[in-house]
Amino acid sequence: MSGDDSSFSFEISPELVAQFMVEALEQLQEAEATLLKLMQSPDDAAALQLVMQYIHTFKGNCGLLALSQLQQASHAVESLIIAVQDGEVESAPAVAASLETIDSLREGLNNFAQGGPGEVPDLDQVLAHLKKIQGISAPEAQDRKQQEAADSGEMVRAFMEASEQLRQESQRISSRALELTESIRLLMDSLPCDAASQVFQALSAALSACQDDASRQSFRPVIVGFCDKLDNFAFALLDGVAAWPDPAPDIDEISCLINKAAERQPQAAALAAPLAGIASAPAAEIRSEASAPAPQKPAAPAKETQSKAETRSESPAEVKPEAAAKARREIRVDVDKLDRLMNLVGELLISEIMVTHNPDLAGLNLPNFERASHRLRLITNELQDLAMAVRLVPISGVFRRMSRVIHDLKQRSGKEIRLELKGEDTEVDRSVIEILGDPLMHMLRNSADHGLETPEERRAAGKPEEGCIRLSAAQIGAEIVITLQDDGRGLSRSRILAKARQQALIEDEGTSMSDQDVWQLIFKPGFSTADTVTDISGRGVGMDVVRSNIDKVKGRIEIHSEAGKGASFVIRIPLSLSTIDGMLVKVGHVQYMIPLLLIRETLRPHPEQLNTRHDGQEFLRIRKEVLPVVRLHLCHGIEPRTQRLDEGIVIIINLFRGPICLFVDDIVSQMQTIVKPLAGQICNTPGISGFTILSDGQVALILDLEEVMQLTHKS
Amino acid sequence: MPSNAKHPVEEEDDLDAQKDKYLTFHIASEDYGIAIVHVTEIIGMQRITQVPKTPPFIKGVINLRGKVIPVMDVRLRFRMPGRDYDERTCIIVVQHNDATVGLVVDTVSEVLDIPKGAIEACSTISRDQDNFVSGMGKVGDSIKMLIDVHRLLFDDTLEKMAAGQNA
Repeated sequence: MSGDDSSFSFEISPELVAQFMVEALEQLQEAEATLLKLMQSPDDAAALQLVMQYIHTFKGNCGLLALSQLQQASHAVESLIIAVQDGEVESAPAVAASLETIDSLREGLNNFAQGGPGEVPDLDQVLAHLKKIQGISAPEAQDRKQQEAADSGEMVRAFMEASEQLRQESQRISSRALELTESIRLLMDSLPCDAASQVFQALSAALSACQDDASRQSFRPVIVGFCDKLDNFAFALLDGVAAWPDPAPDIDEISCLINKAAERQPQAAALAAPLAGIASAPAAEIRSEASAPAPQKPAAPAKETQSKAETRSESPAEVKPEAAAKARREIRVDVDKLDRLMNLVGELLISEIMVTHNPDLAGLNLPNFERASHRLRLITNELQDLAMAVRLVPISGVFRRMSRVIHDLKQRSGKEIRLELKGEDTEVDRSVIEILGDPLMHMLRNSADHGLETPEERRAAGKPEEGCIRLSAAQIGAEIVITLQDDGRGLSRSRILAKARQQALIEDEGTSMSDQDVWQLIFKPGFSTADTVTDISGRGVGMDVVRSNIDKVKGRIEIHSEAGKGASFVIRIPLSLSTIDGMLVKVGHVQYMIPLLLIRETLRPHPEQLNTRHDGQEFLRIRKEVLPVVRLHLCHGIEPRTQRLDEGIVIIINLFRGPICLFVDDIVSQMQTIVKPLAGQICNTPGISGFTILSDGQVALILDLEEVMQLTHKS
Repeated sequence: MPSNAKHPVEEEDDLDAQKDKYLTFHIASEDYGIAIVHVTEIIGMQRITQVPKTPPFIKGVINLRGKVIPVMDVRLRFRMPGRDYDERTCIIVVQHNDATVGLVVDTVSEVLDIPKGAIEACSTISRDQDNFVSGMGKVGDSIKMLIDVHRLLFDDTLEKMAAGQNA
C-alpha cells in the first residue's frame, strides 16, 4: 500500500495532536483494562464488544493523522476480536495477543509523540502473530491479499479521504454532501461490492430527495455512522476484502428517514418504494464476491441475516448513545486552571475570614451583619468543597495499571499471583494520583518478587499455591488509606538488619531497634534485600522512591509484618493538600497551627501528674497512661510565656509512634485554613510543613509533629 | 556600547526595555543596585512573622496578598550591624528561580540606566561580603555596587549558616 501521506489534505495542528495523544492513550488503557477483565471471564460478550469499540475508535483516530502502522496493527487486533466474537477463534490466546499488541501500539504512540512517524516496533511480527492466532496463515491467501492490497492502496486512500470530507460535511449538510456521496458511489461501482454501492446509492437518492434543511439534519447521525463504516470498508480493502457489513439495516435506516421526510415532502415518498425493494433483496445477492477469502459466515437466507444484523447492531446502538451522552457531559480542563481556581477559592476563604472576623468589629452587636456573614460563610464553604471535588478523580485508573503489572509479573516470575482490588472508586486529589502510580508499582513488584514465595515453597508451608495480593483504598476521616497486603513470607528482621549492616546503614547489630524501626530501614536509599537482581525488582531504587513520593503528598507509610503470614503496607495521605482544620496555639510570640485530626485532647496538668526521668525527660500521668512531654519552645528555641507545665496547656497528640504531650503557652482558636506553601526554599525550618494566613492577615506556622519528634530524637 | 536608540520594537519587548536598568537602594553609607528584571515590586514595612530556627538574616515571613514569602534583611546578610526599621525602610520583592523573597533595605532610591560599558568587574579581594557584588556601576561621580541576586539568595554560605543555626 502507499506510504505517501502527503495526499491527505487534512491539516494537523499541535492541539489536534495533543488531543489525539490523550484520547489514544485513554482508549488503549480502557481496551487494556477490558482485555484484562476478559482474561478472567473469556466469554464476556459485552467486554469483547467494548474492546472492539475502543480499538476501533483508536484505529479511526490514527487514520485521521495518517499513522498507517498504528492503523494496521490496531486493525489486525480488531479483526482478531471480531473473529473471537464470531466464535472462529478461541478467546484466551486472542486476548493475550491483543494485550501484547497494545504494548506495541503504545510504543508506536510514543514514537509519534517524540516526533516520529508512529512506527510500531516489529510491525511485521506483530501482524504475523495476530494473523497466526486468527488462523489466517495460508500463504496463498496472504499472497493474494498482498497483491490486492497493492492494487487497492490508491482506492483505500481515496475512500479515507472521501469519508473524512463527508464527515466534515455532515456538520452542515448541503448539496456538497450529495456530490460526495455520488463520488463515493462511483468509486464503489468500480469495486466488486454491490452491497456498499447500493447503500450509497440509497443515501445519495435520499439526499437528493430531501430539499428542506430539517430533514437533511436528520441524516447527520446516519452519515456519521456511514463514515465509520466507510473507514472500515477501506481497511477491509487492505485485507483484500471488499465487504460492506450487512447493508440491509443501513438501507432500512435510510428509508425510514425518507419516510419521515415524506411526511413533510410528498415527492420524496415515491423514492421510499424502490429503496424498500433493495432492502428486501436476498442476502446472497448483496454479499460481495470478493469477500470469499475472508473468514465469513456462510451465506444465509435474508431473514436470518437480517435478524443477525439486528442483534449485532443492537449492542453498539445501546452502548453508543450512553457513551455519547457521557462524553457530552464531560469536558477536559487544563489542570493549571483548576489549580488557579483552587487558589482563588483559598484567597476568598481567607478574605472572608478577614472581613467577618475583622478586629474592627470586636465588641459590636451586629445581628444583621452576623446573618449576612453566616450566609457568606455557607456559600464559600460550599464553593470550596466544590472546587476540591472538581479535582478529585477515582483511584481506579492507578489500580488498573496495577492489574496489568501483576499480569506481566505472573508471566515473568512464574509465580501464581492473584490480585484483589477493593475500593477502586475511592476519589483522591489529582495531584495524589499522579504521585501515587510509581510508588504503588514499586511496592507491588516488591510484594510479588520478595514477599510472595514460589509455588513450591508455598506448598511446603501449607499455603495455597496461588499467592494473593490485596490492594484496597478507602477514605477514613480526612485521610485516604491505601493498603497493600500480601500473604507471603513477611519481612525478615534478620535479613534486613544484615543487609543494612552490609550497606553501612546502621553501625551496631541493631538488636535494640524496634520492629517498626527495622522495617523503616527498607526505605533507605540503596537498600534491597533481594539476593539476585531480577528483571522485576532488586535494583534497590524502589522503596526510597516510594518514600520520597509519598512524602511529597504529606503521606506516611506504616509497615506491618508477620513472619510466614505476610506483610502489609499502609499508606495514609491527607485528603486535601490545601486545607486543614486546625487548632491555633501560641508559644512565646509564635503562633502555630496543629492539624485537628491529630489532637486527642487538651488539658492543663497538675504538678502531681508530672514525673521527670533521670535524663531530664518529663512524663505526664494521664489517667492510666504515662506520656512523654515535648516542649515546643525547646524544639524551636523560643522564649515562652511560661516554663511551668501547670501554667500552660498540654495538647495530647496522636502520632505514628504513639501519643505525646505537646506543651504550649495557650490555645488561641480553632479554625479551618488554607495551607500556603512557602515560595522558595529560603527558610526551611524542620518541623514546619507550611504556613497559613489568619483573619488579621498575620501568618501562622503549620506544625509537622512527626518532624518535630525526629528533631527531639536527634538532639 | 552606544546609548540606547529608541526603537519601537524595544517598547514591545519587556526584557529589552528592562535591560541595563537597575533599582538602586541605600544601605549604611553605600548605594547598591539590583537588576530590575528581578524586581517584582517595592512595599513598605509589614508585620513580619518570625520563623524559628532560621539564620538571623531571615527576619521571617510576610503575607504578600495571600502569598507567604520569606523576608531577608540585607544588612544582616552583609554581616553589618542591624538597624531599627523606620518609615523609610522598604521591602524590595525580588523573584529569582521560582523563589520570591522580600529584601529589607534602608531606603530605595531610583531606577538608573547603567550600560554594560559603565560596569567594572569587581576586583577579587575575596572577602565574604564581596561575594554578593558582581560589578561596580559608575554613574556620574558615584559608584553603585551591583548585587548578584542569585548569590544573595542561594549562596552556599546561606545553607552553611542555616545548618550551623539548626545544629
